[in-house]
Amino acid sequence: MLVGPSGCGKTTTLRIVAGLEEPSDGEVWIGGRRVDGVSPRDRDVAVVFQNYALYPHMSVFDNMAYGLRIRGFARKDIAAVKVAMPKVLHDVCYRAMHLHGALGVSNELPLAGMWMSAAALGIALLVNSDLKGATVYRTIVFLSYPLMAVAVGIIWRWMYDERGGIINYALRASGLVDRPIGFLQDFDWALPSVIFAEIWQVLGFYMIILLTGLQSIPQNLYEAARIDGAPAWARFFRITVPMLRPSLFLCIVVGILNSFSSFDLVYIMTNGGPGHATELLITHIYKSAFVETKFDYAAALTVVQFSLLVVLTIAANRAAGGNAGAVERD
Amino acid sequence: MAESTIRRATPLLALRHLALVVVSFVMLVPFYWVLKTAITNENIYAYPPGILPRAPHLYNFVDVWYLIPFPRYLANSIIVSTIAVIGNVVFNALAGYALTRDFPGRRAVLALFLSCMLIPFQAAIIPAYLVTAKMGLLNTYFGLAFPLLSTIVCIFVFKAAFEAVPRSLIDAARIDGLSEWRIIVRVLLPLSKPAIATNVILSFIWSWNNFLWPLLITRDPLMQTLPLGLARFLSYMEDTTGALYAFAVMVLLPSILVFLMAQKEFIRGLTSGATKG
Amino acid sequence: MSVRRQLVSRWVIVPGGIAVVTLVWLAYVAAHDHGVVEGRVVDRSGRPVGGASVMLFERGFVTHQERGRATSDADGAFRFTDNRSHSIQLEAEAPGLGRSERRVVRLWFAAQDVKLVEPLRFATSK
Repeated sequence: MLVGPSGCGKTTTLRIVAGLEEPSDGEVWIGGRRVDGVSPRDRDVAVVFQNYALYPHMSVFDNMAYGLRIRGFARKDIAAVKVAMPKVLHDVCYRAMHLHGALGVSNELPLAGMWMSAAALGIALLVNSDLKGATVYRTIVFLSYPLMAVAVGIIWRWMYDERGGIINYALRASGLVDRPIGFLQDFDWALPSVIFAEIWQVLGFYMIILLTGLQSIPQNLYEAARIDGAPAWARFFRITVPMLRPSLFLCIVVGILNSFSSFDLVYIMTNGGPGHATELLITHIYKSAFVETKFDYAAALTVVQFSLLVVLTIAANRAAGGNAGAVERD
Repeated sequence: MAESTIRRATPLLALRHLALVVVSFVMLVPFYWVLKTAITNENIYAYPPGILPRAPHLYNFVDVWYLIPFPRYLANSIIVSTIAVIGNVVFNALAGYALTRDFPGRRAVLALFLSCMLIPFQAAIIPAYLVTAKMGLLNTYFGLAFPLLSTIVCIFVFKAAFEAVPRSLIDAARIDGLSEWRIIVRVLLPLSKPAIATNVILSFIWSWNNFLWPLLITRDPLMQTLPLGLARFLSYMEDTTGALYAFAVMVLLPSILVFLMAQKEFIRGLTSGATKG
Repeated sequence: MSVRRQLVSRWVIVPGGIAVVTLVWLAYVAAHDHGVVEGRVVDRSGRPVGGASVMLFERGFVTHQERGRATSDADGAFRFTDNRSHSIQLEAEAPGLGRSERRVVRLWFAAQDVKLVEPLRFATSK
């Protein structure tokens, strides 16, 4: 039995004995046999973890049987274990695994942000809950992503059209404006309009990235925070956002990268826009190379863009704490 | 495995529904127009824009079907996408797992992967073509799936999902004597079902919608994939009436089907409750 | 997952269902694709026009080309038996009546057997 104040090395010693860590110096002997350097499975130890460490995707019986099965015990011996198990113990273990389900917490409602990751985060959180019809909402948001860029560009170009477009038609029919807004012709409207069409198309992609990240946040964190009395916004900023760091990192980096190389939509809708209002670096590169045939200039621009993206990616990685935003888990 | 939840106060619930309905409306309007134009003969620039389709019919789809050897192209697309999806799940899971472990040169590998994301595919088509040619994979199904057998984004999705599994679970597995392979297959992957679903959806969509690569490496017209085969006729069709939109809808449907099937995995909380304390 | 559970998983049922629907549809097509096009020709007042020459146009890529001719009998009924296309047009011509309307007929599949509901009309009467 090891006793001592916290931080003195009790857990570490046990882990060394079990083989989960190697000692920097010295030897480990179990039952007259030297075992340092031997893998845990061959040390013939059993470990009961501080925090149960049950396989949640296996039944209770399988949890107990799996270790035995690996060791090569005969099936009937394993079955005997199950029969011998008192029913009370079985029920208690089973209930403990599902206790959190009884308390239950649904994810919090954030404010939808001004930009794509925030918008996707908002939608992902909304549809992540047990809201009735979450599946339907999710599918609706995702519908636009697999649509061909050509079709998206043409439809949005039509929607923004001054004469025949549905947006201007609705605005004028409802009396909100007197004259049609040239969404793609006006210098101030062009870029936001293109951005909005782009967001419309890719929202589904970022939504499922964030949904995947949201799935892996343990519920007991929210429960503990609730018991501690933390309000919703605090739960969002102190639990959800930090735990989502790897997914958020992915969203932001991929979002930046994709926006730099998103050529199709701009090309179809405005081809650089009124003047150069919607000229992206990538469209400028394309035009320099293939329209003005200034290949050397275009190549130099490509190198500059690449360097810029490298810097941004490194900065994003640093900001996310290195290691692509990985979060330390127990 | 959905858990019951405490129903929140009703006004907040209504607010959530309202927000979602607004978002859904914005997402659906352009889509409705694509659909509407696909089932009528109307020109989208007709003024005033009719809200409801006049004389809807499905014959545009029939036209698209007979424009090209549709069944053959469809089969090609399905085979290539299946190869890409399987390859993606296998390779990305392995790479994602490797990145969660510490090994010498890990930061360099991480930096390498991140920088791979920076290069758009268009810049790499020449080397990609040469490599595929040297391997003798031109004009083959495997060659068509080749560049999409693994994507960096999906590797990081798996990495994040694997890191979300509590360390003590993996340690317990090691104590139980599982080999590394068993740990991945029996412990990590079942607990990362949302990541697998995301991977399946994204790799399917990217390989299904891929135009550029099949254009480059198919020699035989019968080896073309569906979007490519149809896209070749785009210039002959006007782009404001039915045929193009019917084509877009037909290309879209399988991706939506895969999404609907895979998104059932986005159920919450498989890892919660695995560890207490 | 046991074999049984795998069999009822949606990854098997959905493609399986699609395959079944496809087979049923193919059977229907096989039973109805003889390329028979039938109809009637009437003049403006609804009287059948016999001896009119009916032309069948088949849709090429963007244009239509004449593919066959048939003659209407005394009741004004005509019949083609070798249509191979999914999108055709029909037009009739009769001495003294000029040309009838050009009717666009779009089918569900190539060489679908079809019988015109509305007869081909001439703009004039005998």
